[in-house]
Amino acid sequence: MIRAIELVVGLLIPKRSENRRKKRLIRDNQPYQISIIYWAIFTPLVPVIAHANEPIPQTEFALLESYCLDCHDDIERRGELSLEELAIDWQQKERLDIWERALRMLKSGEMPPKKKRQPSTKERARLISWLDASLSKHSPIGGTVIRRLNRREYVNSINSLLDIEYILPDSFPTDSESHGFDNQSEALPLSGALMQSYSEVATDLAEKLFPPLRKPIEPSESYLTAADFTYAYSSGLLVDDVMRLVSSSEAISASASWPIKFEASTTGIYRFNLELSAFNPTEEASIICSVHAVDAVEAPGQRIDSIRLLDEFEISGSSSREYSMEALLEKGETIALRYGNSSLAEDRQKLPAHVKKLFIEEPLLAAAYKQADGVVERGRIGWERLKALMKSDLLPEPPEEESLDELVKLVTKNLRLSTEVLQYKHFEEGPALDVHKAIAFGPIELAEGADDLYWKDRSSQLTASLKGRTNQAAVEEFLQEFLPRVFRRPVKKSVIDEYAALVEAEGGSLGRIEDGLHFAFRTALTSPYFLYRDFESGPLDAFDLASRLSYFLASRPPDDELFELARSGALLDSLELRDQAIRLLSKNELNTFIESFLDQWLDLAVLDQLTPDKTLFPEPRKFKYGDEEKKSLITEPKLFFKEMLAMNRPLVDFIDPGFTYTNESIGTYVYELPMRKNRGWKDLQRVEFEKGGRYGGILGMAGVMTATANGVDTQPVARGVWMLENILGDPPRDPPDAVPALTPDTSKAETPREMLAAHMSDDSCAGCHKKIDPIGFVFESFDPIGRWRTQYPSLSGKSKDRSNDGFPVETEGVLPDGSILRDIRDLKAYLVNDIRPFAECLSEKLLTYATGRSMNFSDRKLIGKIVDANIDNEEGFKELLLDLIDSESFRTR
Amino acid sequence: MKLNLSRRHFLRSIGMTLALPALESVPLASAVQKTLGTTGKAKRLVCVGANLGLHTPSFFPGETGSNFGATPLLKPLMRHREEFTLFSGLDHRSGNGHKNWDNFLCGKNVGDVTLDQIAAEQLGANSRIASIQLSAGRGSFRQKMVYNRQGVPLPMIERPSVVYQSLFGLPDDVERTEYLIKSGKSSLDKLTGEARHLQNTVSAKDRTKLDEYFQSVRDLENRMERQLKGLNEPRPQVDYQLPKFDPIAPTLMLENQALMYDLMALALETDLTRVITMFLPGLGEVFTINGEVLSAGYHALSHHGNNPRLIADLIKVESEHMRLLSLFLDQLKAKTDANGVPLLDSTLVLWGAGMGDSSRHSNANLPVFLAGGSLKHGSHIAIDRDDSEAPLLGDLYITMLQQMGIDQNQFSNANRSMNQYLV
Repeated sequence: MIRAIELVVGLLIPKRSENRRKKRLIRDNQPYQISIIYWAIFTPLVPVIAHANEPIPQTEFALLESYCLDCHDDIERRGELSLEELAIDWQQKERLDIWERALRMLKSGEMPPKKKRQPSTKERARLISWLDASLSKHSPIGGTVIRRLNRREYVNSINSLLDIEYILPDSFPTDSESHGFDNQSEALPLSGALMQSYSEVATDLAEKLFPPLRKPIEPSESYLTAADFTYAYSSGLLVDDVMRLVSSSEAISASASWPIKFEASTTGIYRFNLELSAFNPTEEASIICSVHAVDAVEAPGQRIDSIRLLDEFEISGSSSREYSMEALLEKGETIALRYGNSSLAEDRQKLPAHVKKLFIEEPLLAAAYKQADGVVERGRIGWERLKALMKSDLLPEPPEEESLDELVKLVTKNLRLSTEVLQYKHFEEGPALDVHKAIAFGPIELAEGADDLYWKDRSSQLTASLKGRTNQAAVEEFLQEFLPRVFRRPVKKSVIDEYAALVEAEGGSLGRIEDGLHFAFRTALTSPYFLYRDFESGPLDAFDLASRLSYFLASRPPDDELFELARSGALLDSLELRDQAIRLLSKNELNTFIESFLDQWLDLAVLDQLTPDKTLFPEPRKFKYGDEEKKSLITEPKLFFKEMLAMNRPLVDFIDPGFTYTNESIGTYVYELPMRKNRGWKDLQRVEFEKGGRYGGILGMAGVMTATANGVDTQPVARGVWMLENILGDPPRDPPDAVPALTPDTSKAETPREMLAAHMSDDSCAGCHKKIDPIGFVFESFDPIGRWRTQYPSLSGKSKDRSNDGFPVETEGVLPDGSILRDIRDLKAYLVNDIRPFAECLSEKLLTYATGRSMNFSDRKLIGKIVDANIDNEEGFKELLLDLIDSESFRTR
Repeated sequence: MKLNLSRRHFLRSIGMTLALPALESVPLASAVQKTLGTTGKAKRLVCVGANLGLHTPSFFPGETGSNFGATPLLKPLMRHREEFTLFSGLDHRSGNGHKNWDNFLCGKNVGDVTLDQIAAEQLGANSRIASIQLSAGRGSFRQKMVYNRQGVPLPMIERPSVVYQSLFGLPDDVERTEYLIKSGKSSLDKLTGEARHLQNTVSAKDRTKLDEYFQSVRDLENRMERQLKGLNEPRPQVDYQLPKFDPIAPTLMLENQALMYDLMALALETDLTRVITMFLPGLGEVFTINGEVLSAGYHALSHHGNNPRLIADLIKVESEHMRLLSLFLDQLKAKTDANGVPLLDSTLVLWGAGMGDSSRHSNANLPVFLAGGSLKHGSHIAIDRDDSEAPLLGDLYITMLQQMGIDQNQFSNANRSMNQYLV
């Protein structure tokens, strides 16, 4: 009691800043005094109730008063931060964050600022130990809430369950992100629209696996004249009431013709009577008509190797004859007819031979093409121009031998154009396949198509345990096998019974067990037990642990082996858990983890959408940013990460490894590395170089530099913030509301450094910007696609050529701890010298992605210990990952 | 045995081969509350987007203002000249290429909620179908035109028979559809029980999360209820005969378009919906127009490289687009709403493209045509793109929304309007 009174007195007798103290007391008069009285009188008597506001102990409060509150009280709010409170509501995430920040500042010595009065070592230690203890107590490890499968996990779960490759429709809702990842429990809500999509996918699959009995359909007859056949890309031409076909190009749209007024109304056998003839066939080969089945809607996009060949006819004469066939068509399919062995085809191999033969047989044609320099208009107009040229008197001598070959090369340079011109020649002169008319009749009988057979096979796999039996015992046996696989955990007898009752009721009312299974199947696939995981608080049970491990490393549900280990409980054992992690990592699915994690951690996903501005590549163009370059940028970090993991490389290699993976184009023009030539322009090569240089590691990686720019210019603040968030794990707060974002336009007369100088002169900005800007400026050496530069582009006038002859790039800076950075090399050396901040940041990202929740103070402490041990024992990245998986953070919900 | 099936099978299987109704008789969720969507002079919206745009030199008149002459592409439309406005110099100031075509109704960024969907939230609140998305046949470029608030591209119906059936007919197999919806509902009953059981075993925070599940199930139940009701609802009787086959073959795209326009006019007349979009694909199909087979495929013609003969054939295709549009306007003038007022007076008809010059894949200076909706029409408004004050296409959309009684002062990168020209 005496101490409490002393404290009250202490509070009333301010040591310094008298006026402000008074203001504070006057302002929040009432609550303040009440809480003081409460504190002074009741604290010693009433035990602390969990979850209630916890008073700050008096000594610590006095220390805060002396060293912090001058600036960080409710009035001053320096850096938009007030620590002024008598009791802390630790349930508020915001308070946890604020006090954790305060602790970090105290530990690092950043606060109180050097120019202010400093606490003694003992005083600082006292505050640190109080905050550490309080934060640890109030942030227990864990906190994931029941977690819905995200889009990727959901479709993989279905595909694993049924061993299929189902693709979700475009209209299936996408997930929102949180903490930089798309699998965070709090950010995965369920909506009516999403529920409808789940229900539709489940019903669609049920209709395929357990289809209803088909109703017989009356056959019907379609009379198809030549005009009822389609043609596209000049694949065919209607000549004298005949559909004439001349080409065997691979694209259906460029070679085939199909009836526009017939498609199979149901899957079944159909009869076709085709009236065909040959038009001016060559002596060497007769004309073959090939008949294919093609989906009536998808037809124009198909190629010959993606559709079914139904029949082939050798067409014997120039007068029309009827050819008959019966074939199975799936619902929505029709037949496509082709001149299957035509030597005219839009094909790199076939077309030059065809053209050369034509030129030899008909030198005038070659002369006409020569006159036209090998290029005429596409389609009929081009052919008419050639004909006119052939009749003119001014034709050059037909080319021969080498010059003939040259001309063939020239003419066939544009395959499509020349094919479409020559088609018109053959429409007029043959050889061609003529389609006079056709009669389609059917379905003669219902049949099962490849789709039906495929799903039938899947269905019998799924219900193998039924063995054709339909009694209740068999159904229960099936459900005992099926439901635990859907729900990823054992299922109680009572639940099995409920589902068995569903099967019986639904099957009974419709008379078939398939109908019952249909109903049970789609119910299970929309059950909360299927759609959610992580059910129980605290340490994960073996089944949730199996799911967490499997969705983490493979984005899919546990396989049989994991499930068995969960069932026996062996998975809870450290060694087994690590073994299983190694097993999953070594499987192909490894790519899912690396792909998905890196796309999100390093924002590589944006590269797919980003096209660098053309002005970055001045003429004459030595470098083209095309699909292969983009692919190299996206793939490089993944191959790099894969090696880090597979070779268990030390963590410092993330920063300065002396190797990377890149393709010839990026390696040569972006990294300026000596690349091995002729190893396939497209393939990424592993290249080694001296450590300690500009390139190597995540920091200067072309993909990362491109993803953190915008395709046009670079912004030091954007890259600086990105580095703090994703590499150093020290994300700055949002800028104060009143301050408009400074987005320097590097093309203006002022240098970015001049523009950003404002940050340093304003106190409220400087707090964060003294961390952000020096790092951001270091990255100014890398242009928007990661090329090294020493000067900014100048924008004189509206010149399209933005060569780098503008202001010099200044990369020098000083980190808050006084370390001097001259350029990227110094920053890398700084990180290599103490790799812990990076290692902790990466660990936090990995665990956030794995657990579906943000890491808290206690998690971070644990990560710190794991990282320290990793470094002290000179271990590698693989060991770090395994230690994280085996940690309490991973094992707790 | 694992059957090796081509990707096509899966592509097809994602198409939801269910018998469920293609068009749900459900207003957009956010518009369930009755809104004031009927206070505007315009009450209906039709947006048509052409994949390959138009040959703009043959479309835009040299003259500005009301005394513009008939360019080759305007000829079929001249009988409506007092009811429409042409705009040159409008676009969204975004990048070039096919991918950015999709921003035609979005504004600057592909994937932002489209003009029609904003309109549908209000105009569609009281009609059986909030909005309909059509495509006159299939394009192999999988272009998208309509995006909802969540950035999800809405699928487009390519077959006139499917449109007809969803509007005026019943699903293929009413019995099966009804069974699937009804059994779907009883499946949800069972799941509610399961979730309740689960709820008793989890923490308080989880229970909040699980509430989403209950809410979603209830929402889906309502949707199914409406589907069921829609199934048995009497359909408006229309005197219209579709051909026996669907013109989905690429060469029949213009026929498809003609049928779609007919169905659109019928849908507006029967007030089944008030917001319709139609995409006009452009592929390599060779068209036969007035008995004449054109010299090359449509797509090849659009890459004319300024060859006059190719342009001549291109204009033949594009004139067909204009002719069909003109016939559609005729229908909207002839058909009336419940008060006997011609539909065109209350219908804004926007025709345009996300590409201004498909020969060069340029997405600037888009061809934009706007008719009806009781705006002040009859002129060619030429915007100088180099003027820093120049309005954007989004400004026109703001005027359109305001004309429909939707109080919105911003659309994507635009925040003014073009009221000064049209109101």
